[in-house]
Amino acid sequence: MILPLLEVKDLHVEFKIYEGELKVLNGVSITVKHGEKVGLVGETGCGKSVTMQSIMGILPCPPGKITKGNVVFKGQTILSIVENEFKGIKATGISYIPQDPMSGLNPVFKVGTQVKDVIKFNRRDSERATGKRIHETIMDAFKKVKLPDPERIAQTYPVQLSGGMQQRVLIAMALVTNPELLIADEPGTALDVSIQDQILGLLNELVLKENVSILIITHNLGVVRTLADKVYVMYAGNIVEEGSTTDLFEDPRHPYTRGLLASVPKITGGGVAEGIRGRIPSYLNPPEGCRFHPRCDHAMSQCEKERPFLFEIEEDHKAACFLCKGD
Amino acid sequence: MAREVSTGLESVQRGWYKFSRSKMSISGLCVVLAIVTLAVFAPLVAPYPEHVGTFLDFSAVFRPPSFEHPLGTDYVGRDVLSRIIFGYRFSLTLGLTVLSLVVPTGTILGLIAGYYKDTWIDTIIMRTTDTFLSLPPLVLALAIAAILTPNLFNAMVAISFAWWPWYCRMIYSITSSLRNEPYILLADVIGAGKIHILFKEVLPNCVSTLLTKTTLDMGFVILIGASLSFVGLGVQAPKPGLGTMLANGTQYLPEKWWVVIFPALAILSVVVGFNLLGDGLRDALGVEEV
Amino acid sequence: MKEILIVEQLKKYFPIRRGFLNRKVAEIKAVDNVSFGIDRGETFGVVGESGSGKSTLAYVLQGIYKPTEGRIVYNGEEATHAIKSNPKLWSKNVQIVFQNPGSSLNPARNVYHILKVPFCAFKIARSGSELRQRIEQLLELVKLPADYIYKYPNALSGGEKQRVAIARALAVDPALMILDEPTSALDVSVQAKIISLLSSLQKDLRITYLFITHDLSLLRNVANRIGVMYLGKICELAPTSKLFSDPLHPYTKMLLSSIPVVSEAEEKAKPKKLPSKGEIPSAADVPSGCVFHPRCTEAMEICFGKEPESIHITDNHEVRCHRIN
Repeated sequence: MILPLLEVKDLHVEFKIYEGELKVLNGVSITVKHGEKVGLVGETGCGKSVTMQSIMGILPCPPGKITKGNVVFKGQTILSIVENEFKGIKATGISYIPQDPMSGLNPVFKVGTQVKDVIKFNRRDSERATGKRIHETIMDAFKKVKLPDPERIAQTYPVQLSGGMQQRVLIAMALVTNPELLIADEPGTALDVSIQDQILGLLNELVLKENVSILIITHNLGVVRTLADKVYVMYAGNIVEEGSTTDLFEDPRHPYTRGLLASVPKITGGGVAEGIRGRIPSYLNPPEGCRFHPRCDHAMSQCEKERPFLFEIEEDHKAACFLCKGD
Repeated sequence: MAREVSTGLESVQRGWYKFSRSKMSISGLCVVLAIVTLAVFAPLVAPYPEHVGTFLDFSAVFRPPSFEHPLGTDYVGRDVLSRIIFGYRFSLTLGLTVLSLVVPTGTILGLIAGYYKDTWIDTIIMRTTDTFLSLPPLVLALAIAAILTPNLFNAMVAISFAWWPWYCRMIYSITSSLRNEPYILLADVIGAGKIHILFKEVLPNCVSTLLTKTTLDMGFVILIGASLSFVGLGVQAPKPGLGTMLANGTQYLPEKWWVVIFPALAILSVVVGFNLLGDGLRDALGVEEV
Repeated sequence: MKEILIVEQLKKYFPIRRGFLNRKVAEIKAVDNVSFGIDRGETFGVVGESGSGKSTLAYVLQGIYKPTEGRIVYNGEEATHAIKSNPKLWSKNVQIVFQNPGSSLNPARNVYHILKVPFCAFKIARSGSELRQRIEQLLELVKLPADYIYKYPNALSGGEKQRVAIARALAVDPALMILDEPTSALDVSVQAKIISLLSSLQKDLRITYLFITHDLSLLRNVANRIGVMYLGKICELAPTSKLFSDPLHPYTKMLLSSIPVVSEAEEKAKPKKLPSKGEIPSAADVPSGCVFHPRCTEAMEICFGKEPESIHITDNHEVRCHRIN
């Protein structure tokens, strides 16, 4: 069996603040296989940014700390607790595509220079990269992301480019290091919907052509459905449902997933749902048992005491809910 | 993520928590509190309060630091420690007075100029500010003090002239950046009145910045005051201004070092104390503009 | 009178000035010849991407910007001059809820003060206790607990901030509310609650809404009629169901086909996928002829030179396109 590319195993992360400890991640497990497109979807405050920072090795510790679990990339443990101390390394082979093109690019340097810097600082091959080779790599990358007139673009400043083009530059920057895993943070959210559509199409193509895996972190269910093969739904630091895109969107099982999908306005009409009652819990004193139970219309007494782990509904479709136990 | 509570009191508590985590900030606070206490209770704390005015005791001239005179005596037999304690009084008075003149003036002008950004009002106020800013504060203060009769009051006037533009500019920058925020535009359109907008909507956003800058400035204003005294334009002898003491004592270096070093350390302590406190406030309040 | 608001040939141009003498060298045609009417009690949706001019339209209708040209008729009476000269009076009829909850509330004041401002500006409440009572009533309307008056905006979630913004708008009892992307910054489950709140407020208080957003699928569920804006012009205006079942303008079709939907049923309801070309140009450099022609896959020769007129297909469906004839 081929090892998965990325494995987040039962990750528990806490943050120390003035009022106490925020128990943010409560046992998050994610797997990304080679060539897979995985979506991590959740609303603000669900812990997806913390998960992302843990994977990329940029979790600020202190005030953060891992209390359990680890992250393994290409067989190598990149985040774990070693002798009571948090140990994390920035893995090579993971590239990050930031959310907002305006803040992802330095406004005072030309775009070509910035891409060149990425190449220079991330050389994995032992070959000395000459100026000519670097230039070729940049042009290559720009062509891959379908930037018109790559030579001219390399000489422009970010502010001279439109939002869509800036986003393409960021994707190119992520590709030049030949990563195995791309982490896309809210792809296209800062862009107009027609441009977002173009960018999502581009990402889809690139995953096939360049043989990379992609982990999409977003709150936009439509984006995740367009781009991902497999989806993890996150709530209050837990994965509440995971499955293939088709399974999850056609047959959502967890009450939170259902509530979320019901809240999305449909172009076929039908009015807007009432939403999910209540609000996200505090991480200082998270609810006992299932963290979603205070907001759940189907909560049973068991839900208040015991934490539901992921129960299998069908192959590769699991939900962390006692309603799904024994399906 | 919404925090569970945030009334004014809780914000203060959280701010204090942040502030108290820095040892530097706490040291600054302690130094400032110590100086303020000494200054306020000077007549009670100073061992020889009568040495502050005209006093001569040639039998006790130039005594080095000892038990009766912990910081020694000066060239006419006055206790250096007592004079420094009273010197703190002058310094703090100077600082407080200057800042109480300068902060309101600069703030009001900055608010008006920022609100009317890109109109003739803005141009007049800010170009005037720029003119004053183009002269180094010490030079400007010196020039004005030299015209007026040298005393503490006129030193304060002189420094005020040099200091107000900094506040005007700082408040101008905050006001003009908030000018087009939706809640200001809305207040405008519903006719909330300019006074209300400037003082009740914009000014509260400036409070942290003002507090930080004022604290940091105390030290510097006192330093400028000491500099003026040093060249003879501020506190006049025999009054115990820290700068005056410095000026009168330099000729006795290096043998009678205590007559100069202790007043110098006193000035240093004030400046450093307020600096550390100001830095701590800046970090605790999250101010970026200062 | 059926229409509460009629906008006729509204223009808002911003001059670009350069040089020592501040000469006008170009214009940003943010809103360019926009005409529509809003019926009493309906929700009129305006959809457009960034740069379409929809927020400028909102600001002009609120009186924050003065119109460059055009007419505004309110309740059958000419109101253009009144808005220009006395925006305060106008804002008793029309109130706006801004897009970004973070900047629409003063971060340095608490909820009590934020809600006090409209009452004091219009001298609606005099005594402290009357003010307090009215503010608590407002909070109840938007389903926030009364003790929220002491909270500062940084203690509120995005949804709660928007509720306060809505409460503030309701203070003067306006007949028309302009909602400028009221839920764009919110999570989808929070958005659902705010939309639900707005719906019930509309029913109870009989308010008319001008709902501006980039999210067409949201408008599908809240708006009675929709106007599609591009580069300052309305390119299509139709009742909601008609716009979705029978979109005519190429831009409308492009927008509809790019929506990332969440179900198979919706996929089937989308128009055929049009390759979306290019990006919206700057409003300072508007293309000649039909403003959409550089991105239009169906552009004809006439589209490059001549601006299309707005054609009424049926009584309530109009399109601005040369292909429709």
